Amino acid sequence: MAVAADHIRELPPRAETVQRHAGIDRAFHWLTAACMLLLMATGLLPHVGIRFEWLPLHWTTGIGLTALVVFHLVRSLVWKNIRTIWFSVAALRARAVGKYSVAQKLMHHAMSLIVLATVITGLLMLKKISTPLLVRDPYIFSLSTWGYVYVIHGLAAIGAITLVIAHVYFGLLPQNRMYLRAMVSGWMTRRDQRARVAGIRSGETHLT
Amino acid sequence: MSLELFRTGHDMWGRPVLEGVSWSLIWLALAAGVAIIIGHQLYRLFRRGRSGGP
Repeated sequence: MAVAADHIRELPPRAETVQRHAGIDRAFHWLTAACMLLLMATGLLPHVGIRFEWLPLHWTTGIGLTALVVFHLVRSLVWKNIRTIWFSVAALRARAVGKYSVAQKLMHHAMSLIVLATVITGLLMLKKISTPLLVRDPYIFSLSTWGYVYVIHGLAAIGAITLVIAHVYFGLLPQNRMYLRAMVSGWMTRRDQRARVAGIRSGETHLT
Repeated sequence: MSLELFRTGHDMWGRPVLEGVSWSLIWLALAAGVAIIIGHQLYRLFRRGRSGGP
């Protein structure tokens, strides 16, 4: 109880905060992050000398990530405004302020590309192993086609390393702390919101 | 020292086939991540120096 009371006291008054992320979007973000880290650990660690029974955890987590991607696609296309995550050169030149900065949108697009590439190729690769979901049939593709599937899956997985490092680094920067807090608690203060708009308009923070 | 981009093998007729990306690229990706961090910190230092701020 004491902890809860302290937590409530720490919250600014409601009039001083704005909601940035709904609970469902925060849950999606952190579940996706957990899946990505688990997939990278199970998929890449065995190739740097850390050997363990990685495949069952890898493909089941991959199915979890696929479900999250489908959920996010449907939610974004049907219930949310897809334009909040898109940007044009004209908007960039005008330093237009939207919900997300240019850097955040670019990170989203790069991560989307990587996740879609790994999910699609990963689902195809399920045909090469025995799972309760699909009948194993490695002969649906020729050896050279499987080679391309593996190259795309591998390139996307390796690209994810750089992107995740960049994402965590920029998320932990002091000037971006408000975004991290919003992704945990859902809200940001109006003061942070004003600083954010001023930063983008002055060109200080749109790309960082 | 050359960096291999792909892993290749041979099919049953001895022809070369693609097997995937080279796992040594993992270290390149890690290095790229660290380079982004160092590059951004240098950029911030440079900007701070130019604006005369703290």
